Amino acid sequence: MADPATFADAAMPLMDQLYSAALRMTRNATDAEDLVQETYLKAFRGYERFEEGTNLKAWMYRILTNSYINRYRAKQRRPDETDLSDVEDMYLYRRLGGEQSDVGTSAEEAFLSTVTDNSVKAAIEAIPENFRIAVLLADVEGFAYKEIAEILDVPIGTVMSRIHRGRKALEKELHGFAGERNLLPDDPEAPETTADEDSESVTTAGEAVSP
Amino acid sequence: MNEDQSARPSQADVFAASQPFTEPTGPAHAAAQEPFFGVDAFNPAGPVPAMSPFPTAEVHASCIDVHRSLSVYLDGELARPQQAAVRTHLSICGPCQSAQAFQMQVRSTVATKAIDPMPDEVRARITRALGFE
Repeated sequence: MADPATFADAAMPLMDQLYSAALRMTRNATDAEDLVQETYLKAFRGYERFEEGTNLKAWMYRILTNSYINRYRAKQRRPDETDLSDVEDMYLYRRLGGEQSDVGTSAEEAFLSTVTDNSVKAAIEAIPENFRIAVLLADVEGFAYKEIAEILDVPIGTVMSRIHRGRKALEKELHGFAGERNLLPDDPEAPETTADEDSESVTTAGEAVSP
Repeated sequence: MNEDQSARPSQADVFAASQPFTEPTGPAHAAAQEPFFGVDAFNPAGPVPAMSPFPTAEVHASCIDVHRSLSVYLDGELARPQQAAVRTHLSICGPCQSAQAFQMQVRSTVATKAIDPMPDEVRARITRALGFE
């Protein structure tokens, strides 16, 4: 049982992380602020039930996630049910021609140098909800699968599936943002074009590997 | 499609494999003859230590195995034999090393660019609501 007097020191340093996660979940600053406040109030009231020595960060994220689901999923009536299975493994790497080029090519590095904070945030927010939360917990917050399973109260196999498919969706979104800004080299997976217009494009052998 | 149902191994192609091992049938770049990255390849006990004490000779990973399992490998969540097999493959395969490096860079980019500090006035409001002032 945790001592309520220790709550401030233990939990308040997590506020920026929780707020970032809340922003990605709600996609709205006002809702994110309210969600974090609700999370802290619930956590403080229930802190005596928190078992000292266990993972406070995971416990706080569980409260945050449950609060989000209870409050905001009700608005949506039903969660996103999008089929993401058509996105192949290593989507981004293949689209940038990584399989046809030498180690450490400039195409991948050039792409990554163009990725902005806003494009990453927008890409995460574009992923369907269940996948978005799983990717967020794994890739931004650094939780292990087992912790995510406990936070979301789903089986580990479901966590694995959501992360796997969510990451592919994230890569597709990042690729799309770069494409909109004309920041991409020629796509080796795309149908053949006549172009020789882009002097910075990557030469590819056209040897795509099907998933 | 119901997402939770689709998460069941039997309904997702990535998790459809029932045999976790790829037999050593050729060079490292050859395609897998048997599924490598099935649900059995996942370690439900959590991340595997970087230096696994377990023998790895019976499990081999092809490039395709690595592509399919790289995401879970980087999470440290593959079962020990598969984790070791992917590590061994990566130690000798330049193209897969390149893919690994790129995936790590993407992750680092995502992890570091999706941070928003809590506005000071909201932090103060929550602090007051908790009675910490």
